[in-house]
Formats: sequence, structure tokens, C-alpha cells
Amino acid sequence: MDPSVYWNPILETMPREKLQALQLKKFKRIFTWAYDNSPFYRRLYRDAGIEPGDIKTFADIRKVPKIEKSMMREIQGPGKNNYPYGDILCVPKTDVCSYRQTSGTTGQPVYQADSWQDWEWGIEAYSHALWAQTYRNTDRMLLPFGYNIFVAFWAAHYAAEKLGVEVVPGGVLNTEARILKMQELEANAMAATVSYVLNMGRVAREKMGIDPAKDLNIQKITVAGEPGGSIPATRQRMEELWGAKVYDQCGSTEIGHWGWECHHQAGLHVNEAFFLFEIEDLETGEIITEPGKKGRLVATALDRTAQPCIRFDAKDIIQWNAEPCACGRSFWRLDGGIIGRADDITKVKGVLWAPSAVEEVVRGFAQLSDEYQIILSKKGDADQIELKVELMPGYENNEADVRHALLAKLRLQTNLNYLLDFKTYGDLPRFEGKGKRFQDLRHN
Amino acid sequence: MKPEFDLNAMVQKIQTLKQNAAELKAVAGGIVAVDRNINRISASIRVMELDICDAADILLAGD
Repeated sequence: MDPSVYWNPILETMPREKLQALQLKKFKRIFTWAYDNSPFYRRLYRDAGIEPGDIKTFADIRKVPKIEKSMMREIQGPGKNNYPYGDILCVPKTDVCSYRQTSGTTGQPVYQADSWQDWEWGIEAYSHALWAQTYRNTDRMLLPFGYNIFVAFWAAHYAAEKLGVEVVPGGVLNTEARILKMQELEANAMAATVSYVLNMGRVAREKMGIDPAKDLNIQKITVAGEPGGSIPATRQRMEELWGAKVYDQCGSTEIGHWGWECHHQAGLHVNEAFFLFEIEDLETGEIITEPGKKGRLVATALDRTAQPCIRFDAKDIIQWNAEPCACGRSFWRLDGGIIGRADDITKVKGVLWAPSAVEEVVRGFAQLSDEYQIILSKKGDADQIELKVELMPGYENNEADVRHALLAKLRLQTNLNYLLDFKTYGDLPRFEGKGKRFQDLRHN
Repeated sequence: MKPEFDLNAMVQKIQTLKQNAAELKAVAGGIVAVDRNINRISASIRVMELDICDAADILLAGD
């Protein structure tokens, strides 16, 4: 294998048993660091009766209490120590150089502090992704996102610069201006959310008369923020719309940039040199080590020191793929990327159901637009799923046929029935950031 | 094709860089421009420790 395909061949091709030894060593280090420097973590661990000397094996790691967003909300905010970060902070506030926050879609935003050291580490983590996706110093990448308080593609910007990629910041430009800038500069790469990649492409084609696949030069796109990058039908739509290769990438404000597809586009690699990933069974909470079984991600950022992230319940649903990738990396992969959010995966009529399964079906129909909305509700005691979709222009007379085929496919894929509502093209919301397409009203 | 690198030598060079950075800071008499640039350099050196030295500790153990 050509070593130049790796950002860091030492870490990326490390034998699995060595990689696990590295993770254990690093876990002990970050645990000790947090215990010694963060009142929050020390309190948490003392209450659980665990201290640094107790961590000797992976089994010991599983005794370490998990953290989650709600715990951050309790220690952060006005009137709390070390405002706004709370007493999780492990460094003096004078060492904090960067503020970000979560979007707050599930409650009060979580505030995230980074020292310059952590910022460099985060950029290094993202560099693995871009290099694996063939970004090089011959590329010109336009970043069409609002450079603001959310972490979004900030690390992509700095990692691309580190690789030598020429970065065009598409900050406050509107969608049309971004497309024109892309065309003017012959940019050959971009990174955005799945929803925005689709939306931009439609705006170019339908409002501007620009066919992204023919009139623009975009050859590779990194997507993040939504599951669609690993949903085959959604990926196919993006690739056809733009005439480009689409690579999935994932991460979060609290954890960092932990997963990415390599150029083989064969599932998300997880960066096991910088992070520890544990998958918990959805019902029993037991740790899943075997491939092919879905569970929720518990993640540790092994080297993030200002505001450590140790055994964070990410509420992402994933499953291992331990088959070797053709790229030669020893990092394991995830089948289907992030399959869904634990908050969204729910039982409907007794069947375990995820919105991403519906997306895969809807986006497999060329007669339907990119957009859809799902509303779960109750009719009497029975669960009901309403699915709103749009017919593409030119297919308005095909509703009966599409309805029949769509219901059949949905039933096959999810074992459930749906109430279909066909909307006029353009009626459903479009998104620049993460799309919001699912509501569960059953408990309102 | 296997990459050609000398892990031991890389670790030594990284430690030398780290030491040089600390020594430069020590003799700079608090000049802010030096101090803050050393902070940035030190963060990059730390990333190389994570990239190389941590791995070397594991890979070279028992050699």
C-alpha cells in the first residue's frame, strides 16, 4: 500500500492489538487529567467510588460513569462556576482561545471551550478525514457555511489550509452568490450539510439555470451533520446532482471530528487513535463488541484537555463493521454511518423504527423531490405515521402510481403503513443547515 | 511499498524540538511575540507527540 494515501500511516495502519493498547494508555491519561483538574469530573468519579489507579483494563473503563448533555446544562450558564463552561474546565480561563456551542435543538445549548492545544488537535483529527478523501494542495475548496458560534465546518477550513488546499470562505454569501463564486473560481471541492448540498444544487439548476454536474467544477464534496451521507439513495442524489464524489464525515461539538469515509466510500472509519468508541446495546446497556449489531455510541476524546469529553453518551445509533477496508487502514468502520439518533429511534406499533429508513425509500424515487416530512401521532390508541412528500415537476400526473409504489416499498422496508400527503413541489421547507424533517407528537 | 521512517529518531527529534521551544521561551525575557509564537509552536509539537511519540511507546515496547 502506498503510504502517501495516509495522513499518518503509523496510527492508521497500527495493528489492532497495539491500537487498543494505545487507547487504554490514553484513556488512563485523560481520566487522570480530568480527575486532577476538573471539579466536575472529580465529583462524578468520587461519587462513583472510582479513581485513576482503578483503571487497568477496558472492563474498568466500563465502570466509569458516562456523561451527557443534561449534565453539562446543570453546571453551565449564568451564576455557575467558570461561566459559561462550568467547573468541567481543566485549564485556566486564560488558556481558552475558542468558544463554540451546540445548536440547542434538544434544550439549552452546551458551551464548549477549546485551548489552542485542543484546537490544533481538532484540526489534526479533521486532517485525517480530508487527506483520506483525496484533498490535496491542488484543490480549491469553497466552504458555504455561516462562520459562527457552531463548530460546523470550522475545523474543515483549518484542516484544509493545513493540507495546503486553497480555501474559499463562503461565509455570509447567499446561496446564489456562493454558486456564482464557485463557478467564477472553478472551485473543485466543498463541504456542507447533506440538506444544503441538495438545496444548493436545486437552486443552481432551477433558479439560476446552472447545472452543477455540467456547469460547475465540483469533483468532491464532504458532507456532515445529518445521516444522509451514508444513506445510499441520498448519496446517489447528491452525486448525480453535482457530478461529484460525496464523502461522509461526522463529529460533534463535545467529542470532536471522529469519523470519516476514505476514498473507497465504504463506510465511516472511526479514528481509534484519537478517540475511544464503545457501543451500548439499546435495551440492556451491555457493551457490543461484535459487528452487525446496532447500539448507541459512547465516545471519549482521548486527547482533548481543556474541556474533556470522557464516556459521552452521544445518542447516535451505530454498528460496527470489522471487515478490512481496501484502503488498508486498521481503524474499524461503521455500517451505514450514523444510522440515527437514539432520541429519534422509537417503537411504532411495536416495531423499532428510524426516520433514516424512510429517507432511504423516499430518495430512491426519482419522481419525488429531496424533501419530506414525517409526523408521528396517535389516532385513538394506535400510532400513525404521516409522510409528506413532493412530486418533482413533470410528474404531477403520476401521483396514483407513485403512491402505490411508495407505500409498497415503505411497507417492505419498515413493516409499517403510512398516511401519504402529496404536496406541490416547493411547499415543504428547505434547509441551509441541518434539516428538521421528523416530529413525534405522540406524547404531546 | 512500506513507508521508510525511523520511529526512534523521530521521537528524539520531537523531544529536541520541545526542549528548544521551552529554552527559547526562557531566554526571550518575556517578549510577547516570542512567548505567544512559542505557545503555538508548542501546540503543534504536542500534536506530533500524540501522532508519533504515543504510538512509539506502544510499538517499541519490548523491542
